Amino acid sequence: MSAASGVVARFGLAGGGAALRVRFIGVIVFQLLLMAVFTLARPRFASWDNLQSVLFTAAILAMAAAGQTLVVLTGNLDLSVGSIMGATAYVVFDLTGTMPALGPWVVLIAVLIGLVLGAVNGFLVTTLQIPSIVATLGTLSVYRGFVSFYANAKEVTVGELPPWTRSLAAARVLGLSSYVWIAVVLVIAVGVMLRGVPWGRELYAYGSNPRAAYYYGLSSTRIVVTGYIGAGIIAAVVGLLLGAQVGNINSLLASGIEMQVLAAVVIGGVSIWGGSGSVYGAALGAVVLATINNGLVLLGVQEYYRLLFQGLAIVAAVAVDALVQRRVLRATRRRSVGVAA
Amino acid sequence: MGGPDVTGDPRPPRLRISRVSKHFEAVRALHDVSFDLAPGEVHALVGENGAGKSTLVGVITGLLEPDGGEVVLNGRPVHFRNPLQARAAGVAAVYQDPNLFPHLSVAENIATGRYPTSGPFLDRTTMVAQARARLEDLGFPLDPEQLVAGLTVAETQFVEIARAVDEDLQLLILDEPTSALTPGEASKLYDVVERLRAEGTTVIWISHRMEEIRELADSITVLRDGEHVRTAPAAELGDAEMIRLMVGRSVVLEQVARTEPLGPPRLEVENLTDPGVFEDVTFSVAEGEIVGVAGLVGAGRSEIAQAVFGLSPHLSGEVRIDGEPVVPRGPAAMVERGVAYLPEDRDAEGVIASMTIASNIALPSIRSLSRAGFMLRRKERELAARERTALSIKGEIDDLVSSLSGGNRQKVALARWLATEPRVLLLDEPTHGIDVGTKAQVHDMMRELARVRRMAILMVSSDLPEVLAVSDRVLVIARGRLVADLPIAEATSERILTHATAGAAR
Repeated sequence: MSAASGVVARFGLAGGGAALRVRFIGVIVFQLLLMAVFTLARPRFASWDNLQSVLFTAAILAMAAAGQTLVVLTGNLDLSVGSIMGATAYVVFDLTGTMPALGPWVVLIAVLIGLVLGAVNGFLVTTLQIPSIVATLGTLSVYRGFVSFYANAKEVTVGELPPWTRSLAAARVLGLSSYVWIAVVLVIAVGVMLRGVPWGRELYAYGSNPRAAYYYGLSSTRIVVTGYIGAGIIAAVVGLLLGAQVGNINSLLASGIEMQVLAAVVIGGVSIWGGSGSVYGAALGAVVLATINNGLVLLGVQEYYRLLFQGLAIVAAVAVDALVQRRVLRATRRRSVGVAA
Repeated sequence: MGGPDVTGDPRPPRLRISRVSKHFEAVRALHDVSFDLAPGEVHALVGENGAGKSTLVGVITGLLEPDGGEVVLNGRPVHFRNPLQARAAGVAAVYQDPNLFPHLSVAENIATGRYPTSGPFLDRTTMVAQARARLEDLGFPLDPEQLVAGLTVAETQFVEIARAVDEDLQLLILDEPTSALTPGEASKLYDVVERLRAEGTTVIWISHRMEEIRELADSITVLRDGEHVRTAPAAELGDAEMIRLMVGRSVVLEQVARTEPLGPPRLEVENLTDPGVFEDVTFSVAEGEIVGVAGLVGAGRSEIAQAVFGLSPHLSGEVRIDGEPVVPRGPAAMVERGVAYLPEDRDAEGVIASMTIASNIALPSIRSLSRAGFMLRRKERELAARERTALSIKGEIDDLVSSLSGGNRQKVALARWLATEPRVLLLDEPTHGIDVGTKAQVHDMMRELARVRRMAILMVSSDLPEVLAVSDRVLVIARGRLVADLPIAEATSERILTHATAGAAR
C-alpha cells in the first residue's frame, strides 16, 4: 500500500511543485516572446541603447518589486510603496539641501524613514487587524498627504541634490547604468535572505498557511511587521535613487507607481494569496513590464492601449496563479491509495 | 513552585495536570481538572465532543492560557506561551487536521521554527538529512525535498509526527491521529507509539475508536462537560463503563428493526464511471432505504456520492431519480431534482459559520421563502425554528453557527438540506468526529428521514459499527469498483473488511 501511495505522492508533487516551476518558466517564455515580437515590429527595440533604457526602467521597478515581495509573500499588500518612495525622496533631499554636511548619511535617514513608515503599515495590519488593502490604501494617502504638507507646494531642485547622488545616477559600470547593478545586487540579496535565512522561510511558511504557522508557534505579528519594515526600507532607498535620477523633486514623485510594482510582482509569479513565488520572479515581472511599456511606446501606440495591455497581462497572470493555487491545494487534498487501474 | 513530591513517589509524574480551569466567555470548557501521566505510558484521553479534550491539549501546549491551575512537567511547573516553547521543553502535539505549509518542502515543514543554521544562514544539507533520517526512523520514507502539496493525508500526518518526534521528546499528544489513515497506515503509527513508549516517552492518545484504545492504551482518562470523571488503568475500565462515563448514560449503537416497507427505487445508478477515480458502478437506493457505502479511505466512496451530486466533470453512465434519467451536471441542477449532499468537511463545505443558525437553515430554500424578490423573514424564522426543534439543535436560531460544537454544526448542515425536502440524501461521513451521544441522535434522525419522510439515503462511512447499525444494505467499494452489495442480514464487519481489503490488494 505504501508503494502505491508513494507513487501517487509523486504524481501529486507533479500537481503542486511542477505547477509552480512551470509558472516561472512561463514568464521567461512570455518575455522572450515579447522581445521577439517587438524586435520584428521595430528592429530599433533590440538596439543596445534601447535595451539599456528598458533595463534602467526595469531596475527601479524590480527593486521596488523586491520590497513588495516581502509583503505579498505573507498574503498581504503594500499599496503605500509609491508614497514611501516619494516621501523619503522629498524629505531626505530637502534635508541635504539645508545640511550638506550629512553626506552619505542620508541613506541612513532614508532607511530610518522607510523603517518607521513600514512599521506603521505592519502595525495597522497586525495589531489593529485592518485588512492590508485598506490599511495601506489609507497610508498611501496619509504618507503622500504628509509630504504635500511638508513640501508646501515647493520643489527640491537639481542644484540642491548632493552631487554624489547625481553622479551615481549617471554612472555606468560595464556599459550598464549603476542602478541596474544596484538592482541586481539588491534582488540577489533579498533572494538569499528569503531562501537562506530562517526569517525568509518564515515569511513563506506564514503566507502558505497562517493557521499552521500559529500552531508552529511562529509569531504572525513579527513575521508580517518585519515584512512590511523590509518593504518600507527598500521603498525608501529606491525613492532616494529615483529622486537622484529625476533631479527636480516635487511632492508627487513616484505617485501611482504602486500599480506598476504590484503588477510586476504578480506577473512574476508571486502568489497574491501568499506563500509562493520568488523575488527573482518579481524582478523578471519588472523586466516584462518595462519591456511592454518600452515596446508599445516604440510602436507608437496610445497610452490607453498600453494600460489595456498591461491590465490584460496582470489579469492573465493572476488567472494562471489561481489555476496553480487550485492545483497545489487539490494535490494537498488528494487521498491515498488511488485508483491506479 | 516545584515543591517536594507529596505522594512520596521518587519519580515525579511526566505530566501533572493540576486543577486546570478554562472559560471561553460564559462557556466553561475545563473546570478544575487534575490527573497525572506516568513516564512512558500511553494515556487515552476520551470524552464526547465538547468534553474539553482539545482545550486541555491547548492548555498543555501553550495555545491557550488557563484561567486557573497549572501544568507540571517532570516535577516543574511550566507556562508555555506558544507551541514552540512547549516543543523546546519536549512537549509536542499532532492535531487532527494537518497543519502544514503546502508550498514548502517536507524537510522545511519538519524544520520550521527550529531551523539548523550555520551563522545567519539556513543549513539546507543538514535540514534535509535530518528530515530524511526522521522519516526513515518512523518507517515512513518520503522524499524530504518534495512539496507538502501533493502528499496524501496519511503522509502529511507522518510529516507532522516526524516533526514532533525528536530525541528530547517527553510527551507526544496525538489528536485522533487515525481518522484519515488506512488500517495499514494506522498500524505503522501503532508501531511508532509502541516504540516511543519503550523509549520512555509519554503519549496522550485522543480517540473515538474503542479498538484503538484497547490496542494501545495503558491508562484512560475520561472527561465530560469540562470535568475530570475518572482516570484508571485500561484493564480496569471496560468499554461499556467507559462509554457510560463519557455520556453519563449508556449508549450503544444498535440496529432498529424496520417495520416500514421499502418503496420503488428512488436513486438508480448504472455503469457510473469517472476515469481514474471509479469505474462501472451500478446500484440503486429505494424509497425509505438507507444504503451504507463502506470501503477503505481513498477507495472512491466519497467521489461516487459527489458524482451523483454533479461535482464530477468527467462522468459517464446513467443516473435516474424516481425513474427519470438525469445528467448530474452540477449541484444546482441536482438540488432542483431533489438531491441533497452533506459533505464530510462540514466546516469548509457544509455550513457557513459566520451566519446565524436561521440563515444557514434557510439558505437553500431562499427562493421558496421569498415573494417578489424579498425574503419573508417571518417564514425563514418559522422554518428554522421548526427544524431546530425537530433536530434538537442546541442554541437559538439567531446564534452564529461558529458558536456551536461539531455535532450541532452537523445538525445545522443536515437541517438546511431537510428544509428543501429532498428525495435523495447523500451523506459523507455524517458523524465524523462527532461524539457518541450525538452520533446516536444523528442515526435516529437518519432512520426517521428514511422511514417516515421516505427519503432514499446513501451514506458513505468509515465507521463500521455505524454502517452496520444504520444501513439496510451495504455497498463495499475497493479501488474504485463496487465489489460487494450485501443485505444487512449478511453484512458483518469481517465480511465488509474482507471485501474492502481483497479488492484493494489486487
